[in-house]
Amino acid sequence: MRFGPKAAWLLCFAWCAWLTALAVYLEPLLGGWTPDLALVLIASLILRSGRAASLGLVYCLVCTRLAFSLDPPAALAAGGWMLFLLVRSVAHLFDADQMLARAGAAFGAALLLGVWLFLAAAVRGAGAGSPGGMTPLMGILSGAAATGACALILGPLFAALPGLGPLRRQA
Amino acid sequence: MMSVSRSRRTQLLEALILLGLLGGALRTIPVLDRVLLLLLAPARVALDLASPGALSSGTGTDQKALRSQEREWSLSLADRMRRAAQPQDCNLPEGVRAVEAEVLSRPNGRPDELQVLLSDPRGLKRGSAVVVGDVFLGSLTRVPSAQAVGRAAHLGEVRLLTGRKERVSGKARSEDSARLVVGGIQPSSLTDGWYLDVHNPEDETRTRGLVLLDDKDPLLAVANGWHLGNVALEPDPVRGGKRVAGLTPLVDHEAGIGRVLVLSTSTEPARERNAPAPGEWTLVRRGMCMTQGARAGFPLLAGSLGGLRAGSAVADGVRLVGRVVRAAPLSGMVRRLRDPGCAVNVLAWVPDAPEEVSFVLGRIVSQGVSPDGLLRFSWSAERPFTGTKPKSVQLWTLGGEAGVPGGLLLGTTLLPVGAGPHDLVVSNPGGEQVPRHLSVFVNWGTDE
Repeated sequence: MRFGPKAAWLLCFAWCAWLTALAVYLEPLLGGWTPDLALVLIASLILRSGRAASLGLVYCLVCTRLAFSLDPPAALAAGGWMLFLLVRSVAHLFDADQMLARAGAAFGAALLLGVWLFLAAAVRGAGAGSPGGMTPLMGILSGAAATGACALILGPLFAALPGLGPLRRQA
Repeated sequence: MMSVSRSRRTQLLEALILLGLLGGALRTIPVLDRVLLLLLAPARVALDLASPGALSSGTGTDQKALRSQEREWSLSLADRMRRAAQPQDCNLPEGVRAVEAEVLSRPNGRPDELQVLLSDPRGLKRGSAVVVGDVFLGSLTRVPSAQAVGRAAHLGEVRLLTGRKERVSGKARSEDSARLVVGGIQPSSLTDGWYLDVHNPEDETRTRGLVLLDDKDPLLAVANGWHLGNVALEPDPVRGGKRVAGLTPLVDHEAGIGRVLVLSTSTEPARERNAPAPGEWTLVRRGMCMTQGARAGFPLLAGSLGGLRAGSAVADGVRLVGRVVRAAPLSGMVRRLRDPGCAVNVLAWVPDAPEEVSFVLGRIVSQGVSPDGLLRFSWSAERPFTGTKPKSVQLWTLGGEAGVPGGLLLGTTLLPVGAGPHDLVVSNPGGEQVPRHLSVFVNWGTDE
């Protein structure tokens, strides 16, 4: 079954929603080692996408994350926008087909997003807390490591999820 | 050349967007939040897509019996609170009736003002005296217009005596009954509690003990004899001896007022307003419960279009589950009571001994859950509990803040004695189970 670009975007949004929900479901079991599965998906697609497509992918990520997050919308949007700007600046340095590059991108993105949301919560006095008894920064680091490892192992599988073909071919 | 210029413009625009978002992330900018929630409204679709099927937790037979009992307690508490707001020692002058009013919020966050829902606004005037029990609080500053209908016809505003420009006359209850003027907050006493400010005392040496209202304004005079506060003394560094520092307030003006009385000279017979009015609560389906480190919450499948607003109480029966932390047009997010930082005004009550007076704690702030799964709250105890030993009590919401009505149960705790701050460990049996459908309070103070 072939999907057009519009259907691909809808499916990308749906996959992001399901993966974010799955990560939320896994959080009580894995604690600080919960990978950001939606970020793995986005990292596997974004390195080879154009500017507009990158913006669309980040929008999917922020939108689905907002549905399942206590963080304020401005903090999530700022994190997403930073990711977008960073990816546009460094995407040309990576070979999008290399697994290690995708894993590195996922790790870096998870680290950036985690640290930023932690800082934003600290400045607002909302106290993000530490998962599983870890110190907050260790929790962020372990989450980013889990996300990177997940991208290394499952990245190709995620990029091959049904319906995302048009987004993969937009290089 | 043109492409360079366009590229620079794009970079400038990107940088400006980044700056705006960073600013909004670190400090709430309501307009930006509203725009972002509108732009990100498809988040609701994500909730629908990921709606879990197996997370429903029904209420067992034991729980149903408990909930039924809790409802009875809540009604009993409401009745108790209604009676507690009535004068105890003071007598209403002939021809004066007391109009009940429920405190809804502090309009626009102004601490010296209350927005109230008047049970019967007929005959009330701007300037009418407002009391709770035997304590004088302030005066009515806004009465509903005669043309207002529905809810708006019951909304009023009260300015408390703590307001900077508020002044009333009083006299000490002692035999010499020295006169004085009271109003505002004593500015030099902000560090160790606070006092109502005293101006022009007739004779400081005779100004001792309880001070009563004694004002000539005809609208306030009906409350003459109501209590203003107790005289607090401090050392006088100039003349030696003691001088009047101010009046110790008799109620917690900041977080301890849930119901007040407005004294009216109207001769029309009083009418009861049926509470709770229909439409005050809306039933909403929730999404999956989630934890982010120590934080805990869940999404709601309804948003501001359904009447939800940030701050609304979310309840399961009469149990407070949490508060709405943001309301997008089509979805919302709730922070649970166990989410660190979740705060609410509460009072302590013992339902098995209803004759006992409830004790207003004021604001308590969640510290998360203890290792054994009990809720922990911090309580500043500005007005400490003065019993002889810690007492087992139930904590109920007091009301008086936007979005949270009185009469919602938090759980049971051991109330510590003496000056704070204290940690309260609250047990809430069955509170971990959150049903699929929850009630959200949508009875807001603003005109609709």
